Amino acid sequence: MSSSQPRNVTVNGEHGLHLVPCSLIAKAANSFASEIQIRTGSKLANAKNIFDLMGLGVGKGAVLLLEATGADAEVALDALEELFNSGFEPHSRPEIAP
Amino acid sequence: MKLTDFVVPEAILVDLQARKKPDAIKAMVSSLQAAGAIPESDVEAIFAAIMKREELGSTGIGNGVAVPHTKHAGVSRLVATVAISKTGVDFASLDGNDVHILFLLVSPPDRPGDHLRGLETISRHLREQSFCRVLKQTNSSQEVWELLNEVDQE
Repeated sequence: MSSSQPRNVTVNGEHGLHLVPCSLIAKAANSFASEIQIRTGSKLANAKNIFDLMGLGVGKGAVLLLEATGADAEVALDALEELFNSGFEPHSRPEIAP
Repeated sequence: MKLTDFVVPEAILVDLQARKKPDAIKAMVSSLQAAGAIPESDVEAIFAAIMKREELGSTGIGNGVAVPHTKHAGVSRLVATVAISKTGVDFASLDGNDVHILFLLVSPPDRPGDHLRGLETISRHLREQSFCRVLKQTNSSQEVWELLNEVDQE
């Protein structure tokens, strides 16, 4: 199993990590085989679990650490990083890998 | 933040009869109005705002749970109600299953932090299968309120 280098991302949306971003993250994360986790401070969330993600309760400007372990860890983190950078806006969302 | 900080006990619905999303949301919004948590004059607008939010993506987030919500100037603080459906509501959920537990939230537009903390508090408890199981078995709004108080202490 390979681990990818963790990546820092910033929550850009005005309303923080609310339900729409959480469901997009979970959907994207579930399309990969790797285990993917998101860390903020002392809280850790399984990126594939929308309840975990919503439980992070992060607002605008928060910096999160993305971690992935598995065969497609690198690709998974690429996709999630892009999702965060797009601000979760529909017109700028990247295509999610199959 | 505790569930009992924002759930309105008089608005809890323990035997939701609605089987479809709009009817369920309408019942919960009406319940909040009847409990005095939202003005009667804002009921239609709040219902419309919640349905519009549903168009962005269903708040049926899986596990038989839905968290319909909106921001509206008709409230000065975050308010919410809980509805339990024994038969299940078709909510076009992310996992394709009917929902049996619904938390509906209305928050003031100028306090996005309250909205986020409310969703965080609810998710933290709803991810526990034991909480969902007991919630679905409640038979009175008093039982629901006591359960919320109990998990707030954890």
